[in-house]
Amino acid sequence: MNEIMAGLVNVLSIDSLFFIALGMALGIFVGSMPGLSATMAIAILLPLTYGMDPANGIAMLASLYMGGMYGGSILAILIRTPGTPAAAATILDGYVMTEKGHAGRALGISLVSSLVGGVIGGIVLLSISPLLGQIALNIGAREMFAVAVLGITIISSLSAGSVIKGLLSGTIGLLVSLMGMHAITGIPRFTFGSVYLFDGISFVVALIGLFSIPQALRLIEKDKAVAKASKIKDKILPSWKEFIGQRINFLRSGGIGVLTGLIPGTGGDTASWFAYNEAKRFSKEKEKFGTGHIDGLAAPESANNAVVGGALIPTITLGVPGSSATAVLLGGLMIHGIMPGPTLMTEHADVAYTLLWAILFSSIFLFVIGLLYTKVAVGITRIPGKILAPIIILLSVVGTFAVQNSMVDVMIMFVFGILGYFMDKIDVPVAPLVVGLILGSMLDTSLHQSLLIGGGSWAVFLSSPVAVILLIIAFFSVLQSTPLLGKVVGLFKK
Amino acid sequence: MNINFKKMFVTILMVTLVSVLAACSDGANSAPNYPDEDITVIQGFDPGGGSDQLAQVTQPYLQENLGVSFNNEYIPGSAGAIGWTRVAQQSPNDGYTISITNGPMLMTNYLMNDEISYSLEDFEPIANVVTDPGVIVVPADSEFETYEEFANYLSENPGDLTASNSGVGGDDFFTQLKWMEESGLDMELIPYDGDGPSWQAAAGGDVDVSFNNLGVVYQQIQEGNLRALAVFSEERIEMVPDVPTASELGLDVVSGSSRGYSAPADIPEEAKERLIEAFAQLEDNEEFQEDLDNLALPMDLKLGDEYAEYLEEEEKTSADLWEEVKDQYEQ
Amino acid sequence: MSYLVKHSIGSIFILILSIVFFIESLNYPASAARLPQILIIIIALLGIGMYIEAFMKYKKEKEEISKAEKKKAEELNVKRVLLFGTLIALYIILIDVIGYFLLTPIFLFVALTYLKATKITTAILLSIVFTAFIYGLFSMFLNIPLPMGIFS
Repeated sequence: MNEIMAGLVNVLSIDSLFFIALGMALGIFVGSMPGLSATMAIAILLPLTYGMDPANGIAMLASLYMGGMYGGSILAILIRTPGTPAAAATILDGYVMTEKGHAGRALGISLVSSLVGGVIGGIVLLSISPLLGQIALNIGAREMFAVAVLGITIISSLSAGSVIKGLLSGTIGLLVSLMGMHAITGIPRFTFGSVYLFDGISFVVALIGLFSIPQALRLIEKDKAVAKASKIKDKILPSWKEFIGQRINFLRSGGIGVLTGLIPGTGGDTASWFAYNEAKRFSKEKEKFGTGHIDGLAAPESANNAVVGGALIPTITLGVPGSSATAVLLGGLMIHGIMPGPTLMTEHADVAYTLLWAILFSSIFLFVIGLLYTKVAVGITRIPGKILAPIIILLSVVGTFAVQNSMVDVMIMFVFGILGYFMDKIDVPVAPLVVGLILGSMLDTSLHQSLLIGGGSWAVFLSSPVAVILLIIAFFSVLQSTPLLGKVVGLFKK
Repeated sequence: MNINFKKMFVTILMVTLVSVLAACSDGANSAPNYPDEDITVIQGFDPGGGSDQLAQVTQPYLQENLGVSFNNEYIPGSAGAIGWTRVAQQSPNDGYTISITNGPMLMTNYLMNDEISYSLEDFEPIANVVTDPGVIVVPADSEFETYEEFANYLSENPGDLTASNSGVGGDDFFTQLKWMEESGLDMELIPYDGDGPSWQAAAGGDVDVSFNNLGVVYQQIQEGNLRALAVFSEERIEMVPDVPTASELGLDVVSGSSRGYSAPADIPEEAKERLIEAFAQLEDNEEFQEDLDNLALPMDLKLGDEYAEYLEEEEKTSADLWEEVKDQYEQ
Repeated sequence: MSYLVKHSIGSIFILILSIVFFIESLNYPASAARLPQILIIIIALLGIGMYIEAFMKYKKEKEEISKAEKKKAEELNVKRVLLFGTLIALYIILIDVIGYFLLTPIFLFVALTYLKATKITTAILLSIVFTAFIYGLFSMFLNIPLPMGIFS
């Protein structure tokens, strides 16, 4: 208990608050730039903290992580260009709201949802992290496979319009994510002899291409403007009634965010899709999703910020990073001479608890700084499309380059951009492709690992209760999206 | 006046030409004042990773010795291959661009993939700094208390245990191959994506044992989440004094992941010597030693030719091992 | 372009890619090839399915679809999309040669002028300000080594 209070006192110092605020401001700004994800922002700014007090440095990076998660949604909502992979699901309803002239309102919902998500993650982290930490270790190959399968069922629920086109898009995503060195055999697959493709196609790079390039082209292809300018008087913050109406959605999405964050190797990009899918599953107004529905925006937004707390749980209690961003954070701790791992909470309690409190406080700064930033950012919708288009291109190019300092990535980004544009022209949805990209290699690797563990037998999955439960849910999700379930239920009713 | 102008013009032209020529002949072969500008360190991995740890802990001491700053440039991708290809083929060999080189990854990259076009000859090894020895770990609740129990079980039930590694082609993978060859025992190898997921698979009970690196799992051993059965170092390691080395157990396997610095081939002799000299000073530096201890990284200083021989040796053993098992992976 | 032509081009493209990827996958050991091959077959089937679906739909609602397509085609400025696309491609190809900080203001100026987005003076000003912004953010602050081209 003493350590918890000591951590609180540490956070409430002027320096510490300053660095949390600074981290937040940088995080939101960098996160809003396409290509510069939260992970990258931490990686890039990590060297800046080498000279700082470890607790302050780490608090700043954690706040940066939180800010980056939120910042990514700003341009996703305003110009359909996700700043970070975690904001891809935000586009579905967020950008539609902008098109309808409610950009300010969309930004406000995103901000409040992010705040709630961040606080949920922060509270769980501060209260029951030792309890949850162990879960991360027990997520093995079999459970990962089940998570991937469950995730793939999202594809069918995103296939509005034509199921064939949705599945096609999703399957292409799965295939593309298999490109690169095969984890099990070390064989480079579909690299066509290029070393640059050994790691496969970077998800961020594909994502920037799929969304920003088509958007830039769409802005100039017609002579009249695409989106309505947002009304200046548009109220940004949602009303109390709207807020309360989202409480269950917030809790569910926040919970999904924390759990997804816990699982090593999955982060905000996965959590936001899961949350979107579940919000839709439990909604009475399924048909409103994708048309600028508040639920569809609040779900991914609260989930991706709840991930921050969730991902830090195994990081702090076990030294196991819960996401790619926390992996970098972990490296940062080590460079500060703090060995992350089970001893962190006891030997470096000051740093650990400062970090835990910093997450909670960063959510407050998220709200304040986010609100200021949002008010300025809404102005983007008043910039004519023909000016915006080349600027989107330039930001995408430089952001893509920054991912790995590689021009090859920029070319890959452009290829995906052209692909995205033509997919749009024949009404093939892009969202399933994104989900496929996230899950494909996870599915492949975990399947192979599980089969190796089980000596080649598929029965290996039955030996994991968690995997069995997840696979059953996945099975019902598939049934739910086909007319079959209705018939089965009908049979029982008779 | 005209003549004067002409003269002046010719003089200027001559001076320019001579200085350009001088500048050209300079550079590659002589660098009397080395170093007089900042040194760029190319890392083939992300900030915060193992290479960056080494860089952050080592470079302040080098900076003190050489009197110039170090700038890190991170070019991650393909297990370091993208960064190392850049060093080998595009970086100036004036001594102002060096790179962190990891064994055996530096070599196994091109041994296993024809598409990777650099080789060891493109590098001038400067110094190895640390070697993180390989280690066999089992989860705390494992039935194996000692290496003997583990080996006995495998000799009675060949192939009946699963063992994780950090990926095909990684150092742990090659440690496993060496160990299997030396002990004559067989087990199911299961590759994971990096050292972390590999030990987590063992700790979570997915696999029976993990071949890992001591520095990576040290905290977990301390805390009792994992138990070390054997370590693949030449001598016992101070951090884990009770863990026997492979040679004590009658196996000639010394293996691990080494990290050091190399320059592109054919850098000026003066620069090379000066750099080696700077690394030599690290040997008796107690502060530096302490910093490494904090990271649980055993120092393993090998300078110049010694480092080069070490890498060549690693290349040879890795190539032989890969040649033997290649068919299982590439059909 | 008509509804059916668009979809047939899409389907053919998918089939060609499927064949290329399938042939490439034949080089891999069975364990590495299995999943991609299954996916490729599914993709190829869905690609054909997409055309059949479009064909059925077109037969059923011929007039509505043609009307909607015609309206879309009228609004679309194909020449501008093509030229702008080429401009982007040129920009990406030339960055390494010419250098990021020289090419970027040129690209922005040319694009803005071509699209008739602003007055020439505003275009010049925007190009310079934006490039300076990127320089400050990426080169000074984030320390990302952008290609310098002829400046290096």
